[in-house]
Amino acid sequence: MAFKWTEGEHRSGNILDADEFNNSFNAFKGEINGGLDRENLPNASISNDELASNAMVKYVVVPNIRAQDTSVLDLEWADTSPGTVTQEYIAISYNTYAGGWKTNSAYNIGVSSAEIFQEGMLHLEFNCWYFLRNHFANGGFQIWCQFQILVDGTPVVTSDRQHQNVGQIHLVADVPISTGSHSVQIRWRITPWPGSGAMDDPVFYYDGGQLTAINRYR
Amino acid sequence: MSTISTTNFEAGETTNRTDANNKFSAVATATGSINEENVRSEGIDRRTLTTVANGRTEPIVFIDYDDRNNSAATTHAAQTGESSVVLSNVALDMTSSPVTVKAGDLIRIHYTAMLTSINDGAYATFGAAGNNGGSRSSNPADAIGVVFFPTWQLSSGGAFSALTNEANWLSSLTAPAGITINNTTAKSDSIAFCSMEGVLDTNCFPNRQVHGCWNYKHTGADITLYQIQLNMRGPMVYQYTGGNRVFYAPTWNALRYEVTCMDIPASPATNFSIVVGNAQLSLTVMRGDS
Repeated sequence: MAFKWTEGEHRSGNILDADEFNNSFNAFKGEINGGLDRENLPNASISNDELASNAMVKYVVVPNIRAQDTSVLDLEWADTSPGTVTQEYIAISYNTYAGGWKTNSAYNIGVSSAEIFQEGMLHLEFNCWYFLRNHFANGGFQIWCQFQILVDGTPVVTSDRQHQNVGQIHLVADVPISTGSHSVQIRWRITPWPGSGAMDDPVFYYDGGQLTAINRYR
Repeated sequence: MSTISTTNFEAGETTNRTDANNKFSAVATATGSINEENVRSEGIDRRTLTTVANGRTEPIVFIDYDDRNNSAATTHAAQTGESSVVLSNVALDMTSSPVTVKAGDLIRIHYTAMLTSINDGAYATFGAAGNNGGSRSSNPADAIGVVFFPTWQLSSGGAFSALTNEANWLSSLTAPAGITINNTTAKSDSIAFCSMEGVLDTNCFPNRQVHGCWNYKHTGADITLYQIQLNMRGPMVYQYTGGNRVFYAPTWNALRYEVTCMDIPASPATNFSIVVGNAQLSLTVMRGDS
């Protein structure tokens, strides 16, 4: 803690030597060179004009997050002709997904490049839309998807299991954070292959994702 | 730079007024431009900051919201996904005091919308309920939903436009056609995609609320926000067409949606009447260039 400068004044009639002057001056100099704090600065003296634009927070926004390792895949619908109607999708299939959590390796904060945070709170938001080929009409193929936000590899918020054919994910978490490098990632999972249905059908995709971190300093 | 870099007098050195004055001039210079180099780490706390009415809000420079409850629900007839509609009674009008957004500012638009019902009492994403027997019994769900999205007005009295680098969700199409999304200037980050699956009765009742948001760090020249509104279009279908990811406005009750296949909407209808219930829209602008 800094103190208000209390070195004595040079008195009239004293013989001024270098050390005496240096001591008194350096005490003053030390306060100016990085020692000012609330003991020196008047109450209510700093207004918006004096605050640097990033004085209290740091923002990181990772836009355009979407599913990785996707392929162009066909989905077929039977009609009464009899025949089929086919449509292509960008999605993953059970040919490449065997179950379990999958971390998005392409979009993150602090993994691909270091991101330094300051001690304080970290507000996190993740938002995306998804497509899930959620079931067959006969009800024998009910699946779900789920998302998480990870901070340094630890889940801090988990979505409920989503069962609709399309939908919106919105995850929010506020966590205390220490000074230094940290990583923020998102990961997802869906029901493993249920044992029926074509393995090369499109089954899941997400896009339009944004991962936002707002670090408010202590 | 506002630190003092003068050197000490050395013992035995002959002092003169010029050297002494230089040291005090350095003090005068430094104290005339106090900055982060002068202040101790964590040296400023709450009492050092000026007080303002309603408490300090840095770095928030603007925050407002609007909402509508279910009594303001709107029915949007003859919807096909070819064009969009504006949700009434939920908008932010800053015209009297426009918000200037500077480079480095973080724009945060959040919204919710409740999809209440669609007038297709037989609707199912894999085909009209009750009409999916035989070879159609194992048809898969399609990526059909309603799209909600915000737009803004960047000039007083001007047209509403797409958000920066977002696809133009306001564009009108002639079915079958779609809005292409990509990774650069036609993103889908701002939309909320809402499933129409729901309880079947005389209509289909999804009663589903979605929360969309768009966070954007502004770059380049200042922009001025006059109004923000919430829009809806649909049904639209996420699919891959022409080598692109597309939100498609198909010809309903034709091709895979015709009565012999998925029958969406249930024949003989070729469009939807969509009811949207309560909704909320908010804008927060946070200053900073971190």
